[in-house]
Amino acid sequence: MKFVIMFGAIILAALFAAIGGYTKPKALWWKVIAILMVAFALILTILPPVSGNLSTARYIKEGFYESLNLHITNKTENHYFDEQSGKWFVYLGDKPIDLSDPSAVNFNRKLVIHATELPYGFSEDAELVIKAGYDKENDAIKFIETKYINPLFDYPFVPNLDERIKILNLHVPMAWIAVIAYLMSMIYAIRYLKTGDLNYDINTASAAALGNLFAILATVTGMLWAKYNWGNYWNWDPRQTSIFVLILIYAAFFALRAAIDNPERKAKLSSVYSIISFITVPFLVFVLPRMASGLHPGSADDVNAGPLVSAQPSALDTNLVWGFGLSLFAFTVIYFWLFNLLVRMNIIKNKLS
Amino acid sequence: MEQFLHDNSLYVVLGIALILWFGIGIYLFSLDKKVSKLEKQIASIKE
Repeated sequence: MKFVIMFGAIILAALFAAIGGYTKPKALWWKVIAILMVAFALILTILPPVSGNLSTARYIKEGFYESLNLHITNKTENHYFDEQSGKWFVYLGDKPIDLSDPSAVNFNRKLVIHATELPYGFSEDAELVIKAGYDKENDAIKFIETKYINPLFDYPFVPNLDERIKILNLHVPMAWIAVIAYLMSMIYAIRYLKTGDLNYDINTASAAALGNLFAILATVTGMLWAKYNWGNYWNWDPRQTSIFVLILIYAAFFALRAAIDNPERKAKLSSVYSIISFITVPFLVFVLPRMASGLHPGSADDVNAGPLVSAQPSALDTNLVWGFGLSLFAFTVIYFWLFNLLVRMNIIKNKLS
Repeated sequence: MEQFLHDNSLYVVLGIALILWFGIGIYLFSLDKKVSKLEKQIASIKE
């Protein structure tokens, strides 16, 4: 199902971009829809809260987090309301902890929830996301505030990721779009070599340029994510290194084009280069980072092939894949729009010179 | 500042979203400038 959503998003975007032709001017309604989809994807990425559950809080390491978001659902196996004392209790391990008692007792792993107040409106069906802080001196979790009651859509709490799980929707589509762009570049290169029509050469160069843009964006966003997860902006992780090599390969593509003046020779050589360099793309992007051991999810150290591609049910939830699919769709549409503009501009530039 | 961003990682997400927008926006802006230049060239050739 995950794969259907992910590849379906790309195919849908390609079909949506085919409306009106890939290289002809687009109607206004098309552009409005494209902008709305991107806006919606960004809102869905930034606004919903990240929640956890109390069983996650049970097994975290000491001193690993500075803050946690805890998602408390009113299910009887986790909570119950004690009629006699009129208080809410939650089970942490085998012991019930009083959620409203500021001096709740320690137990096994010395994790304690001090909830000084329960939010108003906590009823039978309420779902809460509360923000709790980690008190290093007392080695306890302390309640800070209630963030949401009954969130419509929330992200799961993954240890070490906290809020940054949302970057999945922003960073991964960039990388996939770069691969699609390079693929399109190769397809147009093959078509040029078959027919000799110079317009295909324009498409090849435009697609490769956009592939470079999106690969650079993927690298930069990945670096910013790495700073807060791995400690440094650049770690020579296999996947970071391979995307860097990929950028260098396609930068050489443009150096090659700039060095030749004759249009037919330029087109022929750059088509051949595009085809050959695309052969390296699946290896660099899909195979090598999974074979080598490294920090990036999906490397040989990881249990699965990455949260998106993994077949394990514990890896990314199907609900979340919809949000990711929407983001992928929106950014792919933007890529096709940029491709459209770039090709039209290059055609005019060629006609003038 | 690093500690603040580590605690409130939502701003890291926001920063990344802004980088994407500015990256694509700057590219679009430069494309637009080039197109305007080309259009001016066409206008000057037609005269």
